Amino acid sequence: MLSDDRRTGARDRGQILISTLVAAVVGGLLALGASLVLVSSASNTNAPPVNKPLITYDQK
Amino acid sequence: MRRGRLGAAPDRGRLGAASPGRGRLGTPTGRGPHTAATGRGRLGTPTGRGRLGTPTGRGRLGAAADRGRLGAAARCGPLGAAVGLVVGLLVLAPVLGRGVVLSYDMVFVPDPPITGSVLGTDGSVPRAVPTELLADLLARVLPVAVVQQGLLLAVFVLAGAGAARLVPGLPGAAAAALAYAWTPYVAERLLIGHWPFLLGYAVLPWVVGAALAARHGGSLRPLLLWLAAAAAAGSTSALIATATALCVIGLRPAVRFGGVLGFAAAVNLPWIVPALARPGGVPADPAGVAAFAARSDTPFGLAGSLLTLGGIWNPATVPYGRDSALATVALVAVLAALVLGLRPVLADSPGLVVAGAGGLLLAAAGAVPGLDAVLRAVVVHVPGGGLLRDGQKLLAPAALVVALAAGHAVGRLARAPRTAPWAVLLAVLPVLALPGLAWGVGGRLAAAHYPADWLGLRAAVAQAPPGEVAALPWGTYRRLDWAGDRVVLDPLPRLLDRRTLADDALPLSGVTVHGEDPRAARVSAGLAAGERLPDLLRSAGVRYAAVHRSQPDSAATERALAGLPVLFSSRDLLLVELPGPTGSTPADRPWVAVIGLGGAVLCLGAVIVRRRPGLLRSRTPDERTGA
Repeated sequence: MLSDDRRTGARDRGQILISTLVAAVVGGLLALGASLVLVSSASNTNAPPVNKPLITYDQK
Repeated sequence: MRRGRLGAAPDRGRLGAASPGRGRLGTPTGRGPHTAATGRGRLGTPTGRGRLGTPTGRGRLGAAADRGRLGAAARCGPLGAAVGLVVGLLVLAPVLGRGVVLSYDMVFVPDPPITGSVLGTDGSVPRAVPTELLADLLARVLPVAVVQQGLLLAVFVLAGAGAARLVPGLPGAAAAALAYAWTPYVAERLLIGHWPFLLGYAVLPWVVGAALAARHGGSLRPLLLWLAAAAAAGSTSALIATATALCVIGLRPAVRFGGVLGFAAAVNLPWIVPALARPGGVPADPAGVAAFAARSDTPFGLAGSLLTLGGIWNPATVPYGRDSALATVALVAVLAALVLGLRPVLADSPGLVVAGAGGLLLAAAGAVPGLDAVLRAVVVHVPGGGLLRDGQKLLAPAALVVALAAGHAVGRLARAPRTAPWAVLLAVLPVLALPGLAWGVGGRLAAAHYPADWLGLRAAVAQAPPGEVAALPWGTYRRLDWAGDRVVLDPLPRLLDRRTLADDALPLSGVTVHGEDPRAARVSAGLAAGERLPDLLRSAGVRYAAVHRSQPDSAATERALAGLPVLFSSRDLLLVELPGPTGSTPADRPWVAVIGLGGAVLCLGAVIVRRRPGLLRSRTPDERTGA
């Protein structure tokens, strides 16, 4: 039979494990989304068209 | 050298005091008192102020606790610097060692000449005084690309170290460093080329740390030195730093408040004197208030964009991902930081929170009906009011509040094993919310080397008889094929060792914000009226015309100058002389620099060499009450 301390310790470890897993899943999904944004942005970095009639401050 | 001196000063006393016990107290045991000091009980007590490394808590916490805290604080700074360095390398990696970065208003040129524009003596608006002067002096001893990239890297290192020093505990300090160095604000200002603002942004946490120390009885000298550093980063940086410092130290005692304000005014003389002495003042086009008002760059509108520390007026400089679902991550990160970590920031420094809220309000003012009219009146009628025009730049104190709150939140979560994974997640959320800052802001920063013909043109101008040069075609911005065809302010006026007349209007899609140079305005009006270009330039006092041959309107400009003596010609550049009498040009006024720079140097020198710390030390609350 497990003592109260050991049961509590096991419960804590379980909660820490679950917390870690959830945080890791959330973080992983966010990292995946961020990577997708970065990849799509990298494919969008071609030089903009030149010789527009006027070069303005707010052109890319 | 400068950074070392300024950076060392605020810490010297405290770190020196901490050193005897640091080895022992730096261990987890030693962190005990420090950790305790970050607990809830501290929040409502005066001892809580000690968390920020100020001397106030020294007597209350006891020497051992103080040494423990200071030992931890001593480690937080280097950790933050390391985080900032990693961030800086991640952001600047594509440009490091590959030439100079030219992006919108960021223009560096090889072997920059020290001109009247840089000194503020030529009557132009002293926007870059004295920051460009300091950068140009550095470029006398180092390659300009090294200077530029060193300054940009220093932004991240200083920002990270400064923010980290204000949060106790290594996890929180690292999180604060990351949250302050990795923001949409940094991305947008970096892309638009406002590197002096970013230097001011990096100095701000050091100003706040020194102001907190002064408020709690420490020496005023570190605060004054950091305010001088902010002044070196230009008018906007100085405005933000001074206002924030005054909020932090508070109105009382009035002598200290007035002294700090007076010193700040003195070290900002290098740009204040030219601005005040400028004939006609510094007129501001009211159209600029709406044009440069903060804008929504996320799906959450203006409020959400500003709260997540973005919202720059220029949509072309918004980093990738801000308008995507990742903005939700940014909003969650900021809200989580504020909910979990704002309270200790508020307890430590209510003045900083006030400054952050004020900055947020001013940032939004240009886009809020009612407030925009007030802002317009201030910009147009109040001397120096133009500094408030591009309001989003005033978010810097709010960014620091959010970063410190994030640091406290992460520190709090990291203390319990069950919540530690969430601390890690919260700490990295700034990066996950804004991946577009990495790798040269998503590949939008690039470095280049000036082609040889640019230096050839400069040499040709240097050999020509005296006379002013005009930069043509008449326009403010260029796309240079050798620099990636990105929009950049014309580098010619910075490159040439002559007074150069250039268009200073700011053309935007749909509106043009007029500049401040009356001679440039006359040329613009003359061109619009169809006057002959050579006559127009000569009447404006111009003797030479330097023409970019690969810009819009280049062909028409060359046709207008056909038949004139050619002094230099290459594929991309042309220099012609405009024979005949020329109109008068404004005289240089060296006294402006003598008074401005001289006054600032004298004031700074007085603070540096002052040997009697009592004269620069604030009184503690106990001393003030006679306890």
